[in-house]
Amino acid sequence: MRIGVTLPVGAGADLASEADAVGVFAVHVPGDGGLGAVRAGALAVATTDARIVVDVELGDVLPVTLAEELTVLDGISAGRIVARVRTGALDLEAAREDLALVRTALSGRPIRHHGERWTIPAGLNDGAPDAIMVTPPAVQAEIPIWLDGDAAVALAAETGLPRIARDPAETLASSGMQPAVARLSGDLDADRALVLAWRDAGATHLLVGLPDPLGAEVLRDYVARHLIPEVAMVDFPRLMAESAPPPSWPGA
Amino acid sequence: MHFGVGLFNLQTTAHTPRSSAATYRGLVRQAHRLEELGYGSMWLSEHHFFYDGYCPAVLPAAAAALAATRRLRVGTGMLLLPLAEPDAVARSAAELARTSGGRFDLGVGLGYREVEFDGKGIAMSDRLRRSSAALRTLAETAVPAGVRIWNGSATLKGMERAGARAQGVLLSGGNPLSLVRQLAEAHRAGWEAAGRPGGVRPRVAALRNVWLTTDPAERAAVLEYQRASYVLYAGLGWSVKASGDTPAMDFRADIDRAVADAVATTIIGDRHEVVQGLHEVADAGVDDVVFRVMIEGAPEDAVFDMLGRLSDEVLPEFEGEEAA
Repeated sequence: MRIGVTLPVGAGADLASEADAVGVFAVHVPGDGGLGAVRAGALAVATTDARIVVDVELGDVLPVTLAEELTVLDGISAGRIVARVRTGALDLEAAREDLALVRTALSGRPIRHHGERWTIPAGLNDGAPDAIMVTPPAVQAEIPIWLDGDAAVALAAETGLPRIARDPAETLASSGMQPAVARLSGDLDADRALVLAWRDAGATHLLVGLPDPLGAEVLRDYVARHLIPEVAMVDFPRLMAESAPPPSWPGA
Repeated sequence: MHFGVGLFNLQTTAHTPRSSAATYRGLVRQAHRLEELGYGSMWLSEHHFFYDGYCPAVLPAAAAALAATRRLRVGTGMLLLPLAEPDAVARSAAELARTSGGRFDLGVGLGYREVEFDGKGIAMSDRLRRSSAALRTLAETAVPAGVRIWNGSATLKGMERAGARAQGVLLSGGNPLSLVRQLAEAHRAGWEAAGRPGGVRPRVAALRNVWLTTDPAERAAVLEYQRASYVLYAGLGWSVKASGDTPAMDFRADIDRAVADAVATTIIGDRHEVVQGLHEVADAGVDDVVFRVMIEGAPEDAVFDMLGRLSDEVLPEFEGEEAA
């Protein structure tokens, strides 16, 4: 199971850079209020290897626009974007339409969409073609979508897309991706048990919120040293993490 | 007089094919380079559904450029306001201003491509109403957070309205200087007629095609690349309306003439010629110049070498210079 981190809003580039440097699978900053895309733009600069989990909220914004933001971010990050698509205040039917439009837009296929919420192209302007295509295309073969929110369970069942789990006792996917979120307490024994419970339940990607107080050393000396190895193999020999490391390299 | 560089369109074209990831990642490197050379600002621009990947989401791109720099201002020239969801733009712009220490400039324009309106589910005839409503949202949410608003109109009425709102304007690089002068005058007149809101005249910025060189081969190449860069506008369907003595520049009706007219705006030559050309721009009522040098296909190192020379040899002449 891979572990990524949710950093607090305003945590700054240094923390994201450190998370990237110590090899977390992904970094994420909450994007409430439609701020996921601009926050992800900053994360793309602060990191080079970690995936960037972007909060995308369905609702007021045209799904074509949401897809454009994602493909731009995928370019800036050289293909490291994962979209956490939240169904927000939409009911299942509305969320189904918006999700379908996001996916068509991301696929690179021509869009001709006639739905209850959106008609794209609108057919309101002389000379406009009968379909549009979102550009630039995503850099990845396909931008991963992780569903979240009230309509996520039903949408995941319909589409086969992963949805984010919050309780290891839930029924989790037994194949493909199974993302999950959890919050660390800062108590090593409890956090080891937490990540192991998720791994053993079948989660593949766990985004963890970090304990307070938060310092950059939490990423290297706690998450990367103890928790990522803990779930990287069966029966991790904890001696590998607990033994004293050699001193810092001279001059480093 | 302040100097910026644009436009960063993030295209991957038929003439200069490459990975769109290389283009988009390049934005971050280019922001660094501009800051190192001492330029004040970089300007992005927006289009939609065009084959070359022209940036359709300028706010996340601006977020990356701002995150990569410490002093450089980053602006949109322009974000197409009627196509956007106003609350989302206002919140994101406010976030960029807050997290960058107030370095974000939000240039807004109306847009002119039917396909972009249709693809966003909007009637183009509704664009002025949508833009006005969105400007009110920006005034409530984005401006108090430190976002500076610029307007991208090319009509006298649009200039007057921007002036009356005490907002700056950023004029297109394809405008002949005669039109720039009229637009700057209209902007100033609009501000004065509104009772000089804010007490300080809002600024007039203008994109200008500028290249410092004494090498005949480089000069010829620049003009050829300028020409090629304006063919893009034929593809996009851009045009400049006639105004007073300034004839129309219609890239749809007469591509060759419109491209030639746009290229003819170029200030090119040695230090003396460029200084003189920029004085003429200032004399037309322009406070700040954005060098339109990110011409598609020109090698990045050639562009930045030139920007380095320009910064060293020309810009010191304009310290403290004010528009006429």
